[in-house]
Amino acid sequence: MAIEPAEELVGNPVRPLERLAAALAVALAGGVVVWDGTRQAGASAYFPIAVGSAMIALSAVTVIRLDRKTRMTEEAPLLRGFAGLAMLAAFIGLAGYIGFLSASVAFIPAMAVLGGDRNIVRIAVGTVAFVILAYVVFNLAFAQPFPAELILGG
Amino acid sequence: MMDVLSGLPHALVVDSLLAMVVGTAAGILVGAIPGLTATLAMALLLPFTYTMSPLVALGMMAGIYNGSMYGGAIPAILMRIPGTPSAVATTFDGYPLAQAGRAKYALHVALVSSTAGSIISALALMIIAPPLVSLALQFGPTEYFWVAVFGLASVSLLLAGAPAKGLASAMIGVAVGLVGMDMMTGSERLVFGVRHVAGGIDLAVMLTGLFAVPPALAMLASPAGGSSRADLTAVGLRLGEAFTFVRTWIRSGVIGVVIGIMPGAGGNLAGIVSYSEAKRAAKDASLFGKGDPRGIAASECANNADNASSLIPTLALGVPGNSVAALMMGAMLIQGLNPGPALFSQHADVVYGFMWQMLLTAFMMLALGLVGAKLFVNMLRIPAALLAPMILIICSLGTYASTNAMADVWLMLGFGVLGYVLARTGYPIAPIVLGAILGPMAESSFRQALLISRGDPLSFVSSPISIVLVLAILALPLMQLRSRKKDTTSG
Repeated sequence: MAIEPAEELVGNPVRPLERLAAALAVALAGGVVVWDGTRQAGASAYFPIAVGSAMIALSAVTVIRLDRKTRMTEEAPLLRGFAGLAMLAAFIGLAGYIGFLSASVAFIPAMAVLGGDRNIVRIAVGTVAFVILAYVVFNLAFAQPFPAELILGG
Repeated sequence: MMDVLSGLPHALVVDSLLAMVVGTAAGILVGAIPGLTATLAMALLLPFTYTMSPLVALGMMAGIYNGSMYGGAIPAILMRIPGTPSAVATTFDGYPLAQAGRAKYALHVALVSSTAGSIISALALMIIAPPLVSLALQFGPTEYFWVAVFGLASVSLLLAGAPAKGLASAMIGVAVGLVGMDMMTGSERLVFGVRHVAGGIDLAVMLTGLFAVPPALAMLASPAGGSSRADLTAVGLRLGEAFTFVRTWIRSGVIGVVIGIMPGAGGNLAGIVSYSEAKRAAKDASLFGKGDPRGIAASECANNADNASSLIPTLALGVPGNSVAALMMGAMLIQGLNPGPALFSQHADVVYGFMWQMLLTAFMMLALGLVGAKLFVNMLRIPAALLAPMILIICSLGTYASTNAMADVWLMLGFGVLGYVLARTGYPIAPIVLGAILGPMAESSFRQALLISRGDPLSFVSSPISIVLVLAILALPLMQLRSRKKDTTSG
């Protein structure tokens, strides 16, 4: 989603340093693409070198045009967003050992609390209902092979 | 015409009908929840389509696409929160009508107008796509190279606030498309010893990560739970009254179809332009913004008329013009179907069947919207903070189910991080997907053209079609400059 100047839109702030870091990361990724392209022979090298160079050049343009204003975005706030991603990483890591549904029992309440929901009964009912529904749909109806579950078997 | 008719029986088989009903209901539900969009629903569905037949997968997606556009009108009317970005203009008159105790009437106007828009759009798809295919049959590698470049440049330049960021997103997508084995020489590119990606990056994994993870994270910052308790007992729209909107539907339908065909434009633009035109054309425009049903009719008809028409360049040329079209194309590629002229001759049953599905789901939306109004309104009460982790779990389950590899679930998370960071810093996401789809097409066409012409660069501008495409590409930055200048002058 596009970001707009702070005075025109409410939302979550994006500071210039974050925008600079993103532009530099794109340039770095472009550098890696160019480097890989130089290892290729003949026509295999054309596109990686052209694409990587374009990424570097476009990042340079972005950096030059960077202003000092704090912009607003509709995306999740930085800390909460990365906390959510860290929880998702923990969920995926856990799912490999105890199964997706078992890991969901901890993941749903943790994320709901991160999202500001403090209604314990609603969270508990929602978690149990979702796990049962997911078990019926994926394990029973679709008979999908998933990593073994600590709870609910499968 | 007979070709188009031949697709109808394929769309009417039981599996396809069931898929359309489920997709349409899911689409309305998704659209009714602010923060959830058709793109997110399709991204969630995509990994599960591996095991479906083509017309089941596409029927479900057609239902989601049409249904979600109407669903977006529900919170727009009841809470002044557009359920999808396309429903922004619906809030202008929908909410005042609901406040005046006419919520049921406003929802009915939105429903029949959405249906009218979807019908107009599906007919446009059936009428315009086949002749465009005849033109596309004259394309060689050179023309396809320019078509891919045009698709990338137009969407990147038109979608981004900053052109450099739009183009950078497209280049990131092209780089993702380069990962894996070069089909012409067999050499590995951007693999770095990770064997799992040596065969290339799975499109469904990328789409799920990019389009489902960032919106789910954004929901964590949404207000917890809606509070709509709309009164739906009042009088709705009578059949005779519906026909008073025919003129608005025709005008808005045409606007929606034209905007849908244009790459980079979307349902929100169609809704707003159509609303402005309806207001301009009205003899008495004094009620617009205060609860004029023509405002709802214009916005809802146009944002649905944008749907099927946006698939015209996707089906005929293999060039998706927006993120939903890219997801549709992803679903086709998963099924082994390559959108473009060859699809119409090799898989006519699927392509024409899909066109009928776009039409049939319009009628299903009407029926489901009338029957399930209360259920859809209650969806507004689901707390966003509880819904977000459920979406992320379905993403993970779907990704795992599609490939049976935990590595792909991690890759999905990686694309989620990429999408979140880029979206936060103003890089549009849709060009990444387009880059990943059109990049390989551009590269193979480019190299084929060079081989055929024995390295002659002038071969790229030797045909009239190529020259027209090059001129169109050159005109894009000029168009953007002009529109920026206009904005500066008016602002």
